[in-house]
Amino acid sequence: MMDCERIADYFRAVYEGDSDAQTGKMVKDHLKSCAACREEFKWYGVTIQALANLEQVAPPNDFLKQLNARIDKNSSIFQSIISQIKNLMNAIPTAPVPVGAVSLAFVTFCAFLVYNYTPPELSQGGKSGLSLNSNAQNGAIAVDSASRPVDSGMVASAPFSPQTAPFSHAYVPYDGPGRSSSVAWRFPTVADEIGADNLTVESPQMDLALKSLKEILPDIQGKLIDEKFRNAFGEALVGVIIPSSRYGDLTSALVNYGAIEVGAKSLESDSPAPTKVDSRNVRLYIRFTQAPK
Amino acid sequence: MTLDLETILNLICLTLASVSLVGSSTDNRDDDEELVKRCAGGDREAFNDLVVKYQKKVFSVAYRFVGDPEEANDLAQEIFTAAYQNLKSFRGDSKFSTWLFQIATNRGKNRFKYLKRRGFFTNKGSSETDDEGDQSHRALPDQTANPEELLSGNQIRKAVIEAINELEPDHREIVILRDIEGLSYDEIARILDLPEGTTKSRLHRARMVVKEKLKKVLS
Repeated sequence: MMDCERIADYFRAVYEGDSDAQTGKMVKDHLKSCAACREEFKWYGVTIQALANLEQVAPPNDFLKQLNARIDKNSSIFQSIISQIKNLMNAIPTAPVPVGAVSLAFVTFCAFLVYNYTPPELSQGGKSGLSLNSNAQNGAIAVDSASRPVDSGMVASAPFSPQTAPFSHAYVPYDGPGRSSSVAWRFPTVADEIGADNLTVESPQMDLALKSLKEILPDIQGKLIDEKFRNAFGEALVGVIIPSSRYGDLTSALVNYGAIEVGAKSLESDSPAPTKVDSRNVRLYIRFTQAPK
Repeated sequence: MTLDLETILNLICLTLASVSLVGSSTDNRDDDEELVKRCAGGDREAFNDLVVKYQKKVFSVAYRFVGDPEEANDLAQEIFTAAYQNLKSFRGDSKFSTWLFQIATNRGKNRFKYLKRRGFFTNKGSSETDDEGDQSHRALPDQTANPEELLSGNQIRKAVIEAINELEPDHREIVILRDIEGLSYDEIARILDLPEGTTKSRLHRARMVVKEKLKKVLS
């Protein structure tokens, strides 16, 4: 005879008449002799009947109407999205280029632009720059103040050379000698990174030129605020603050000191306006580069 | 003469066998095939015919999953909308009704889980208890009463609904399909993509859970 724990496993088969004859007989024999299992089997039947007797439910009378309205609404939204995509693709001359490829190209282009973005202050440098080219011997510095038109580039009197090769790769439109209206690629220098309002001094004896500047500063009530050397690239950067009224004096003093040979053009007439620190003082960065001897 | 009789008997057997085969192939044929084809071709009237044919069953299944007329209406519409949008992908490997009930079961189960997470059934159960709590306590049956006699009462309906609401989704769906909607094991196995044996054993376990809950409430 089957034990009570196992008998429940056959309830479904016996209740639905789905068991083989032998099993059915064994279960029925057990149920006859076991009141507890008989009660459980009754409850099993009650459960099935109760589930089957649950009240019938019906959809609302306007179910079909509601459904059609919903489908039409969904279809119109779906169609709208599809038509928008089609219009977008038609607007692209290269259609039917896959959207993914177009997107990838667009993202790449944007990344390229951002990567090569040059802050506006850098690109304004040429307008206010002053270039001093030293052609003189013994460290004397020749002034070539704005002697060439620089419309849209950084102050950069020195053409690119391996010695001035930079450590960053910013795009700097550069009007090189004899290329006043063209835009060329050039690696930036320290002065480029700092921005506008700088003087570029090219000297065959950079140390002497620097020394000259430092000796001049006290005379014009200026002070040194920054000094950087990049020996690997043969350049030095000096930041000074001087009274705005003494700006012309600085270059004049350099000339008077003997470090500068005045070029054909007047310093004063072509001098750019440096950055104003306050109403009285201006900040100026001067880049010294090693000119070829 | 004997030979003739034997031949006749053989012929009768062959005829019966062929009739049986034709009958079984007719059973497997999808009655909705023509409507489905027209519907896939964009015939909205054909789709409406299918909706009219199955709306009661689908609504009923939806109602058993969510236990609320408004939710059931929304769910049933969602089921038919999904069927309409995906009809072109229906390859006819199974009957349309099986495919439709697959959608109904999947959507119903998902909606049930969604509502359960948000306490929909708990709140609903408590509000129903609040409404008729005292009355149902007074109406508790005598423990000596015969279980069959309980079937006639309104109380057992609530007990059953509560028991279903507490079932696991897998148990709930199989109880709905078999014991409430009366689908065959073969059809349920196709809808749930389960072996028939597994379908039967899972149904048995689900019934046993409901039975225990009913006993607890009604005894």
